[in-house]
Amino acid sequence: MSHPDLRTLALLSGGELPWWQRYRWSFHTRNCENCRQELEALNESRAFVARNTATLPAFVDWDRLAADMRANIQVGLEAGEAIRPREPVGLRLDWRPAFALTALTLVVLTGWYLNINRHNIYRLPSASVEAGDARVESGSDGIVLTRGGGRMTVMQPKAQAVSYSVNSTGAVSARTIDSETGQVTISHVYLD
Amino acid sequence: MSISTKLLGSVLFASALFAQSELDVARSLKVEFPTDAPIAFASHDLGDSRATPRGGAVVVDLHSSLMLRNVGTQRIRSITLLIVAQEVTPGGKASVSLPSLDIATGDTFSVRLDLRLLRPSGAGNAGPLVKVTLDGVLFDSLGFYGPNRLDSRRVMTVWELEARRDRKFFAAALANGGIENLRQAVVTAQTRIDSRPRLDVQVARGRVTAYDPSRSVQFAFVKFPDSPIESIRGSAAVTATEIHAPRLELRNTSSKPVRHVEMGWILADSTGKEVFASSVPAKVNLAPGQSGQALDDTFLKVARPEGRPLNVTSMKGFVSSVEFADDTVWIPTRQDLSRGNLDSLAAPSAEEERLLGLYRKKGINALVVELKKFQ
Repeated sequence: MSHPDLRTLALLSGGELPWWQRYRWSFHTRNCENCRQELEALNESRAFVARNTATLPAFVDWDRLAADMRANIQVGLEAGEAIRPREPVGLRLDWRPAFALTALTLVVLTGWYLNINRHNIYRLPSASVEAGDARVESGSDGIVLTRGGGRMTVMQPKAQAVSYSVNSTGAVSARTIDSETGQVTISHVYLD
Repeated sequence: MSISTKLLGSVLFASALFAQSELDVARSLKVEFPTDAPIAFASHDLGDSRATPRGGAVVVDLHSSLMLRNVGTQRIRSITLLIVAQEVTPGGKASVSLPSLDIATGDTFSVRLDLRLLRPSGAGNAGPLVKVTLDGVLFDSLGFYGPNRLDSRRVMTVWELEARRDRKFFAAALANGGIENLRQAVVTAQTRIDSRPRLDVQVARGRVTAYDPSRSVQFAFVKFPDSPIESIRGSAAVTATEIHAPRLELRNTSSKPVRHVEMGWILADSTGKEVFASSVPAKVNLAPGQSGQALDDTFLKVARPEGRPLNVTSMKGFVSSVEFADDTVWIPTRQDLSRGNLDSLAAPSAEEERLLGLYRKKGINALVVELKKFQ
């Protein structure tokens, strides 16, 4: 005759065995004195624990304890929020858009740098002459003559430094030096 | 009409428009040199020139490189091309000059022309928009060829004399102290140029205006020992924002008649800071010993580049060049200019800038070679 082990008797006491094992071992404990005493001992122990945990000790104020626990949890959450690095709201980019944006920025900056014109950064002193409806002035592209609805621009190379000057007879001049050949070119635009 | 016929018609129409546009650009520029000129026009290309309609106007971008050849017997030192766009800006003209050249007989060289023209669409297109002609050629003998409509002879002679003066200065630095002395001279010159103060300058000519109450400010003149012109006195009316009508009284102290004087005009504010404002060319006819006045109806409006007005409290003038009736020219020496601190205020010569650029790009040895080439 086989006997149930202690673990099986504990599960039987708690009513946690499957129904066919429960039927089998219940029948066995009714006919086996030793197993029945083991099962009764386990039942008494369960009854003791149930009796002693049904009510809290008198010195424990559960409502106050719960309030303290909620307050501590709230404080912990707020402290964690304060020390956690902030993530930008609504800009949760993964690496691909970030990489594309960086590459685009580099392309724009490179293009701007390659097409850079000194007098766009350090504005050159301007020079202009006017008489009646005619005007000659230095501009971002070169020297511009405006007269009678028409306009003529003597353009200056973008990549070369330009120095403008004016004389009182009505001419604006631009001087450039070719960075490759060293050749000096002087352009004048006259009012008349 | 079938669809294929319509399509073919559209393509032909578009081609005709394109061809017309190309034709206009090709016909926009005309280069014409006298047959007896010492420079021959070899060829030109129009590169990426184009005509673009823009609203009620047409924008013509002309990017041309003219190939020229020295067909004369002398070395060429500088040339000036006259550019006229009569149909676009009636009466207006421009020039492109190449100073500091050294073109031997038979050699070719190129001149770059970059022009943008804006003209109303309805304007006629009877001839070329731009005509380029030769205004002058200066040789190493200081001889000149050309119609000289832009006073190119005087201007190019001044450039050439300044070039010789400045090459001589740097060559002397090399001869007296070797390469390190030359390097020091170059660095000093570059520092002086870089620290030169600049102004925004607007000039109005022949303007009649009710200007602010003005006060008369006298010129102080920087005198040079061997100058053929003595500046006797001068003044200009100065307002809060403008300087106008400068008057100069000059005397010819040389033995030759003088026909043109150019003055440099320096302004100073209440703190004593000086800045070069403009040059004042004046046609005069002064016999030896004769005095005369140079008058100008110019209004000068100046401001610092950052936009602050310059409160002018004093003015200084100096003779920057003199042309005699025999076509010879006088310019001040470098010692003259440094004595009055003028070399820190006036623009450097084209040749000095070229030599400094050569040093920056190719180093001291290339500069030495260049200086020796002209000795």
